[in-house]
Amino acid sequence: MRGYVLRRIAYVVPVLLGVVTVVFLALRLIPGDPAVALAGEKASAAQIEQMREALGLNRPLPVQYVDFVAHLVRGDLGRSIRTGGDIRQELVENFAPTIELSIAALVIALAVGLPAGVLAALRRRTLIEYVTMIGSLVGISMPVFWIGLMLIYWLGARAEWFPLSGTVSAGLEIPARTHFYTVDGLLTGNVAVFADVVWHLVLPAITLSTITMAIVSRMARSSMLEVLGSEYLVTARAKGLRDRAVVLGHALKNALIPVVTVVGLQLGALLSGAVLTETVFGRVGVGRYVLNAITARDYPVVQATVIVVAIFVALISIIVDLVYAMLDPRIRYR
Amino acid sequence: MAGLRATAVGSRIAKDANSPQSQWAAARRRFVHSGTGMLGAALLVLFLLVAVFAAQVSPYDPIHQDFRIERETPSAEHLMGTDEFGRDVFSRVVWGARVSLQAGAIAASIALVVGLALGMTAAYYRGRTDGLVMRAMDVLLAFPYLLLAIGIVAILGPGLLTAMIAIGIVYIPNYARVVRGAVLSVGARDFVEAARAVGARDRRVMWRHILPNVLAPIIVQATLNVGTAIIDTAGLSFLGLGTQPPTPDWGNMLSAGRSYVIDSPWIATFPGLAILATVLAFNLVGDALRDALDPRLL
Repeated sequence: MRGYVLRRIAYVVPVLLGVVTVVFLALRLIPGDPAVALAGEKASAAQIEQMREALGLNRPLPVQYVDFVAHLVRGDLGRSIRTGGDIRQELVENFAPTIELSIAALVIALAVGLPAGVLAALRRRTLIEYVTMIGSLVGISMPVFWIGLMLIYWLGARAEWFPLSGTVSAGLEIPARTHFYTVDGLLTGNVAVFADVVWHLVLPAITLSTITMAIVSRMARSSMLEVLGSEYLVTARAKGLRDRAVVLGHALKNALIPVVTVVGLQLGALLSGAVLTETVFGRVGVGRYVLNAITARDYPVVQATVIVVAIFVALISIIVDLVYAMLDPRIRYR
Repeated sequence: MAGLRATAVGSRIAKDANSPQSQWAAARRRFVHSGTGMLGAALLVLFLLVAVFAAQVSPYDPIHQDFRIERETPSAEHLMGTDEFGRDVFSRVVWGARVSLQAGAIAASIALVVGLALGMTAAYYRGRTDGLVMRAMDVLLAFPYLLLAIGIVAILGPGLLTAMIAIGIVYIPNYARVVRGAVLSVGARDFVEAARAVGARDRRVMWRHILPNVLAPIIVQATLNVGTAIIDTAGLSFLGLGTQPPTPDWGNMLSAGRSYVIDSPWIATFPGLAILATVLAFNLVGDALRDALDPRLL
């Protein structure tokens, strides 16, 4: 197992170095000089030059690169051109709500998708199977941003069950600690804030969950069907085990393995969907952060965000692989 | 002359080894008999016709503004209502079909062509080439795809063309992986060895002997991919990074509809339904194709 962990990490390091290099080079190809953007259109040549100097843009590219990587390794992501703030701090503030939204969406997707897929496999050619299959097909065919708009209209404006947008009601202050708003609400024992934050989270989380839910239910169904047809299940039944014991004790555990992989692969998609969902619901998050940075040509923010998110996804996928290896011993010995 | 005859023999061997004619014919039979696949195909033909004959189908000019009739509810005159500039939503959805179908098809084609070439090269030459290409694909896959697409648009500048290129680039690794896997398993078969033995050049072996045998998984991947490409290019337009107004595109129509969704929900509802119907059609056809072709290589 230790060998597997080390191999997995050794594999990710060059990929991440590639990510850093690609982002670094790509952002220096952006048309439009950030120094000009920052100094303003009316700035004199001398002022622009001064700005270039301050940003370190007048140094040779390799020097900039080494400097950039050195800072990155130390966890120094630089300062935002637009706000002047520490990017690491800003990223924590903006990334945490995105992760919170993604986790909420994942929970909903699993809570609905898993039972739906398993039931569809157990009750073949019944209404349950048809609804699950059609639902998942429609689920992967809808753009998340449209689902969000429709939920805002039907459940927000028409039914008035949920707020139309935002992260928290006006007048309520979220005590900022971890920047995971639900956690912050609980940590400070502020039940009103917690309830309000959850209330604001429901529609965006449902919106973001749809595609993952569809994929999880499809995967759970097909993998359950495969397992149900396997010989060891026949054996289990032949031993005289009751249906319940066969399904819960033998089939489900093995059927879950491919589902874990799919969930791991969905993380990048979840974060992508989160960018759109945040825009629809006007929520604080990494999506809005990076879109604002692009508009303002705030390239340190863009490069830091993209790199940090990529590293985050890579780390999570390692964790998912390790869980996978723990569930399925065959993986470790490949 | 000898070389010519030799390669002719090579390709006959390839044909006999797999008897492609009967295989494709069987696949076509299976597809025609799948109800959902044919339903999807019929829908796609309908949408294509609407896109091609947009000028004839749409009752109004899609960019003509008329402030006297802004945000009118759907009626007999305006089937899907009017938008915030008094433009006919139905006409814009019809013209938007053109933009969106093109965007999806072109983005998927970019990914297909580049991914096919990379996957084929990697699997055919193996070794260091393979390692290099696939590590590059891993780098692309390390980014959440939309963030990568946004980054590419940031570099190239917003617009429909750059949005298509960005989404195309983002999908390249999917194709490269599928093609590589398929080529690896086909490349070890006897007819490929035979073609090489009779002196066929690398390029000929790749495109004449291997490609026809790996087409099935690629066709399935491409069909399903056009659907997701439509959603994702619409997503970029929704963020203001794709098609720019006043050109109608389902994504930027949703973006405009977002501001009016409470009072005039029809502005956002219909372009979304159009995306749903189109992508659903691609998914139905893709799933049916997968079943029909039974690509064990996928």
